[in-house]
Amino acid sequence: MRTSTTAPTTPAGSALGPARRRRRRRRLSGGPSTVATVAGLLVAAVMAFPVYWMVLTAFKPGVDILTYSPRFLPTSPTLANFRDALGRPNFWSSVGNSLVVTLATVAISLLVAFLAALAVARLPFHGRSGYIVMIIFVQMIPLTAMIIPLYLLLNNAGQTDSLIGVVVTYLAFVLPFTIWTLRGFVANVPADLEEAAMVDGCTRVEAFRRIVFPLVAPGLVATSVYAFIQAWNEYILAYVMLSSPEKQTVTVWLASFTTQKGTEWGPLMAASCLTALPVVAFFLMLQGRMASGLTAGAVKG
Amino acid sequence: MRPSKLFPALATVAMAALTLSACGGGSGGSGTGASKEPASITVWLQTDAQQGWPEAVDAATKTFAAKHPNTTVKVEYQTWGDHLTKLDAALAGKTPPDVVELGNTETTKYMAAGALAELKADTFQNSASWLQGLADAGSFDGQLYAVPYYAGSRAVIYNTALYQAAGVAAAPTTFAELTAANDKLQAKYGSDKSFSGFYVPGKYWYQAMSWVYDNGGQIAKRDGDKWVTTLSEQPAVDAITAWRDFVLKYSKADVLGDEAKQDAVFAQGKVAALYGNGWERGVILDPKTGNPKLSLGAFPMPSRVKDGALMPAFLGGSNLAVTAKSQAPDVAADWIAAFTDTPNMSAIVTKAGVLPNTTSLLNLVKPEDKAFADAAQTSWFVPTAPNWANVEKANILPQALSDILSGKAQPADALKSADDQISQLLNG
Amino acid sequence: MASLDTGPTTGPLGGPVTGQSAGRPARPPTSIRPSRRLSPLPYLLVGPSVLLLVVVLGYPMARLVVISLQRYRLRELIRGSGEFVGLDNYRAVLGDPFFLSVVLRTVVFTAVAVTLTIVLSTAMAMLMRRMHGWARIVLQSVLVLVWAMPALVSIAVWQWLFDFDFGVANWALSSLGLDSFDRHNWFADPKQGFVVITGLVVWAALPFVVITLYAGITQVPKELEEAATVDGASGWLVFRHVTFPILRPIYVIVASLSVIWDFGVFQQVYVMLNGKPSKDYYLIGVYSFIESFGVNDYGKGSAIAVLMVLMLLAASVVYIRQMIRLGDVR
Repeated sequence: MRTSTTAPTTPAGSALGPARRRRRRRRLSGGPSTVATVAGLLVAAVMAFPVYWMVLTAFKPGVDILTYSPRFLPTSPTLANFRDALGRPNFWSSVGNSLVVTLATVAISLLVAFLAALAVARLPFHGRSGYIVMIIFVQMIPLTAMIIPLYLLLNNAGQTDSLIGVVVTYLAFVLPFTIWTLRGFVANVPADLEEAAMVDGCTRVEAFRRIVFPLVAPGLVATSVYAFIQAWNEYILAYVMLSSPEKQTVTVWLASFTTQKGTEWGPLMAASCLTALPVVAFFLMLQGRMASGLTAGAVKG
Repeated sequence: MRPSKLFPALATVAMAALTLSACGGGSGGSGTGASKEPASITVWLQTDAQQGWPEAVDAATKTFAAKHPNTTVKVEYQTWGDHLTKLDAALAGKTPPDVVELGNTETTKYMAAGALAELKADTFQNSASWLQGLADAGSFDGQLYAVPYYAGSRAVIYNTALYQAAGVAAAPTTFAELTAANDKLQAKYGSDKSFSGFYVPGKYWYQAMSWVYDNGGQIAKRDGDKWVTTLSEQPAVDAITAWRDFVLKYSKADVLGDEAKQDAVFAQGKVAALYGNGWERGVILDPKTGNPKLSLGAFPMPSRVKDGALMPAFLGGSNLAVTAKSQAPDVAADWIAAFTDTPNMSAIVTKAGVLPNTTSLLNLVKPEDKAFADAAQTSWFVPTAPNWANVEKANILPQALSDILSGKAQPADALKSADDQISQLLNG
Repeated sequence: MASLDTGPTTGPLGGPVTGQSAGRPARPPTSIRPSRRLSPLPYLLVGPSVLLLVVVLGYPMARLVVISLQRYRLRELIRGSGEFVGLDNYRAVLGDPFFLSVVLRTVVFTAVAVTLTIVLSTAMAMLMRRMHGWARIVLQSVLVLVWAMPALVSIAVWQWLFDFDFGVANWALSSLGLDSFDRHNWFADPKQGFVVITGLVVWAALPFVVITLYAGITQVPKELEEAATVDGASGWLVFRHVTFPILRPIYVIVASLSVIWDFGVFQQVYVMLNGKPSKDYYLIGVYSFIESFGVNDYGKGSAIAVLMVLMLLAASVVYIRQMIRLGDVR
């Protein structure tokens, strides 16, 4: 979905130039501040600490992983854990399977949810409140209670050990949330903006594409990243539904690092670093594309 | 808007496809009723086999293929964390595995629920000399359901450097020698508050119960239809009291912790000895998980009451079973027979350092693992009650032991309370 | 609480919301027309999701309720059918005083976790507005990394940070002089254990809420806030009267989702305590799982799950009723 970069002309003009000048002029309004930046970086450091610990452990030999005095920097870094993780059977196939499942889930759920969110937020219809109640209600059911019934449903449909079955199951869990969230973002965009554009001569579809869509774009990013992560990191359903080693996803593959002897932490952390990369890549890619959407949809006064 | 009209259509087609394919029937089932040779069988093994002895799995399939050339074998590896959840789901459905590996403490509830198929002992080699702990785990009401696969027993693993530095020349063979060794270690290193002469986490009930069985006590015994718990009887109370004094004196382990990370602690070099499985030696020395520079030795835990005897060790390990819903139980049993035959079992033992399922092959164990092989000869096992799994889930024993060590309760009281709770669950 | 939608007085097609004309054939909306009551458009947009949810979740939910009314243990699971015992499972659960303690603990935990999540996220989102662009991207990337960590891995790391022998927390606190934290077991006392667990849950929940709030905040016109500031309002008042009302729908979403998720927390407790939580640590999600898969009493575990859903529904009934009253035509 490409966002339109030709924003309707606004008195304030396009985003960066005059806005920056305005920010410098009006001190009271508070542009980017050094205090906020420092504080923000501190917050980032605190939040990142467990992630840092994971990455750190990936480079440590076994004897340095759990030590009486914590080692904040690797004293003898090693790539052995990464080599071990990459050498395990089914790594690449599980990454492939996860990518297929995750991208399918994200694409389908985003499309279906966005359309449904539009309907719920903008169009009055019979049963709308019932629909909303249903959306909220299905999220209240604990996943663990559904594992066996879901398995039996797919088993009867012959869709166990099938990536399609997994995608369909994931959709059922991701959709309510994405619809609910996108509804809020769409509702947040005042309807009069569209109408103003239509008064100005746009068709309804054009008004939607140029006004509403860019404003909802950040919400779409947040929701699609959420859907991506839910599908990418989901474990128990993938484990129960899939059987063949060639079909397993990345989270099931990660679980194989635990044997009767316990868990090999170094290789597991290395493997986790590797499996986290696609998520970050996905987010950065979206963030880049949506950044233009953010400024394009600048709201006029 | 065109896309919105496409979608309901697509969704309907998808759902129709899903439901239609349900008519296609499950995979791996036998064809016509007359033929007994299924197209394929599904085998569930744990990841230990995938990482430890994959060649043995292949060899078993080859042997099996000689007898059943038209049946393919699909081996699927499961993870210890959630494999029972998956098994429950599969057993409820239409396509359960034919062969499944279960931990030896996991078998009883499935046997009692009728989930496993009946087997005949003479289908399998060495059945006459199976290790008692595994054989007990595989039988229910006198019928065999789960074939012993491999075992692990526990002995004392010690740091030879620390022992020698403290003046302990040879591995202790009696309990008195063990206590003396611990005293010497304590004298030399006791000032370091992290040092443990003998590391025992409080919730390590496999260790504590060994003392009970050593003293002639037990957790529970069968009395007709009921289970009678016996932990509050004198032999057990005395044993646990002695255990408590031993642990408080020589161990700095967390009294509220379990044995999950004891190898990592040992690898840090401040533990002189711990009580562990044979494979824990490998974990301690593996560069990915421990310290390869340590030098280790092992000796079986000596009996506290009888010099020259050994404290009974809890036998860990796995069994292999055929599911009752399997379409081809005889064929599945043949695969198990191929996997546990003498050549294969020997290969597993020599490669992976685990104990075989039979006493006749214990001599194949590597010299450094001899202590574990010896310890396996004297073993104890949990009460083979269908509800025993609930007792483990309820953490009754670990909690009681923690309370005793932390001083919250006296051994007699804590054990009486444990008795009551266990009795309620076993008979409930 | 204001209505969910920002209350358009005119329908999206330009006509009045209440004015409907029946019987007109549906036509694709290309220009401003009065809305038709029977327009198929909304149903087509909503249809796929309804179909999917009903097909995939309908049968499992029905089964869940049915099982909760049966005696259903391992034997029945394998056989595929249990015997109906009516409300016995529910009576067993509700009659046990332990259940009430579990519910109370869950409610307190949820309240604390959700409050912390929302407050901290708001602070972070506001902070992000004022940061330099490059620093904001750093923070956002950190948030995504946190979000991307598999749950089992992040729980393991938090376990290590609070480990008895090797934990960074113990090391840091005892280095600062608090000797009681040397070799301290954080999970001995459930109150302390829940501090750790709540920390983990909130830490893992922040990325989604922060990113969502921030996405909403970018929709807030800066001019409005600037105008209020120029008029002399302090930061807090600006937030309360300008920013928050605009963001209300987003807050409603993240708050409601946080309540639902935190009420059902299971993995963090179960895995953090190595699969063996003591009774003082039981949250309702943990209780349901252990009854089903630990003790294999699926009937009772399902009953607990159903009760859990009913409780959440009851808690949201006020909100839903208001929503139906205010936000909709029918």
